[in-house]
Amino acid sequence: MNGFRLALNLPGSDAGTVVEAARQADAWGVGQLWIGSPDPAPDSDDSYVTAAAAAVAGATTYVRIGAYLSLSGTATPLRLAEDIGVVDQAANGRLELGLVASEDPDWDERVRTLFGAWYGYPTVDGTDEVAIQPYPAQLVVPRVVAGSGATAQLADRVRGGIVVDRGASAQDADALAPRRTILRHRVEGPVADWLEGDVLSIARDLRDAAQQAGAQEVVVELPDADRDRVGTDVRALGTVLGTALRCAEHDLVTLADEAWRVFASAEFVPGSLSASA
Amino acid sequence: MSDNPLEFGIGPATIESSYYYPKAWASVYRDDLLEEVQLAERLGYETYWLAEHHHAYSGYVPSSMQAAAACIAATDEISVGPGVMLLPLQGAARTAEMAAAIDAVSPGRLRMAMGMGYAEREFDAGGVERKRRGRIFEEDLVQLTRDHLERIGATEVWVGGHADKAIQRAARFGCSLYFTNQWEIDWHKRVREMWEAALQPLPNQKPRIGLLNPIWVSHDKKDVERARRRLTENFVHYTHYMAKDIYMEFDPDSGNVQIRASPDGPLFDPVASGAFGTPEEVVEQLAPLITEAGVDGMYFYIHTPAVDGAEMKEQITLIAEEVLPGLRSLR
Repeated sequence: MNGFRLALNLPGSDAGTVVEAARQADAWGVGQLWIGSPDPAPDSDDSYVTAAAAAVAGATTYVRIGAYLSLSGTATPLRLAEDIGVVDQAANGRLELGLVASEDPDWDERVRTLFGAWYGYPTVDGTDEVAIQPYPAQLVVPRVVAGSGATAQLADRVRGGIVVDRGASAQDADALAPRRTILRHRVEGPVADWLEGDVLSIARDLRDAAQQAGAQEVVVELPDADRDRVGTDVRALGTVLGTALRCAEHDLVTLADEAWRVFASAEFVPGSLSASA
Repeated sequence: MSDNPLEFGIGPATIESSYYYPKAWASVYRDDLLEEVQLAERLGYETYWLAEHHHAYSGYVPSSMQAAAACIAATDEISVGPGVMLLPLQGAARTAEMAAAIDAVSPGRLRMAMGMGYAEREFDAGGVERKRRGRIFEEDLVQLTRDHLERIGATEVWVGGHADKAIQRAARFGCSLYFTNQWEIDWHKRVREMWEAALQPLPNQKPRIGLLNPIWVSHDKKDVERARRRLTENFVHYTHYMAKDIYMEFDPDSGNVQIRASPDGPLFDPVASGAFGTPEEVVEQLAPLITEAGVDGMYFYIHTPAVDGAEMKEQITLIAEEVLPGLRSLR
């Protein structure tokens, strides 16, 4: 199996770091940037996340934008529905939602309220309803469930996918269902240090883990990312890991080595290979 | 007279898609919006404002802070913010989180002008008691400028409103003032004196007074008249669904609209009092607001739904090239 997509998440990072990472992700072919966190973390309140997502929308053109939302922060479902409409329009339909599952008995109701909001939102006394505008650019905003409470059943209830941890099995995620599954992988420290000299085994390990979990995507989490370093981190991910995750198995040995060589080359600048040819 | 540097801005933006001139939202919220704020920055405007309403068919942006975030990330220097956002409907804690995110992207460039709001449907849907909005606004302002001050970083806090109570409140909380449709020189002198006397500055704030007024500049008289008609039309529609019997009154016989700046303020015709004409005429009309009234910021209300993105950009360019030099030379 090949063709695994690469996504990035910077849990605990501020919006300035996230936007810088997003610009680099746009430039280096990282498919998606998730904002906020599936676990408790600083700067992950829903209102903070939608504002950061809007900033990413304004700063980028291509990268898909994921927003982890707890539905239990400072924003009501009404305000969140408006935020989602504005951000998705500003992003030309690149927004996706990561619903952080909760044992809070009101969570289901808040999810229902959020997704129903664009089709009529009731006034507080229930005697009338208002229209939420703008609605999102996408007919259906893609959504996944995430966090420790995320289950395949919950994913089905919200008609979405699921974000799973390392070690999850295809049975856990019920891979037989046509469901989007995203595998989390946490990297501490500089990405280049992680990859150096070990790209092939890291890529094989991640591809195997993704396949085992029935995942089509891998989201690399860089906790508390360093703003000064995040550009290099994202370039390493896009150049090296992105290539090594999506290529065919029989090309992996060659491409893992070649992609690392390109990234590590001090002289490398975009276009330099074709110029020298 | 103020010693603050004079600044100019465009606003309120993103009100260009309405039920009577619908446009693609992707154009309003991305292409035109981002191109326009980038153009304004290139032309040397210091500020760019967005306006917030909810459940409105005018195209007002409901998440004005998110739209501001997109604008700030797409530019390098220009200050951007809602003018005004409706604080009782957003709440202090949420507002602080949004401001914290935007200030982290580009410190000190968010202008957050806040108002109370008035439209019943917005309060009914938001579950906020409209009749308590003054008290809620004040409570939220206390939280924002005391409990969340560190969280919002270098965000500038502004207050919209024309009543003496609102001006004194702004001064008490160390906030700048955002006025709309006010041309009377004596009124400006009086409120500046009142505001300065009561001002209790906050850290990270540069208190000043800004004024948003309708203007349209053209060398063609027919174009100027067309702009007046479009603005009247906009106010007429606005009174029909948003502000009826609150801040505006529509006279079906004359076809004109009169507005008031506060619920107990006098009615006046916003179109008649706008600055319309050639660049020279507009400079002459606006000059007393700088030289006599002493406003620190002058923001140009040129957006109406009938104006498309290309025409808007032409107008922004014309004002920058032929009006701003004359106004900047006044201070």
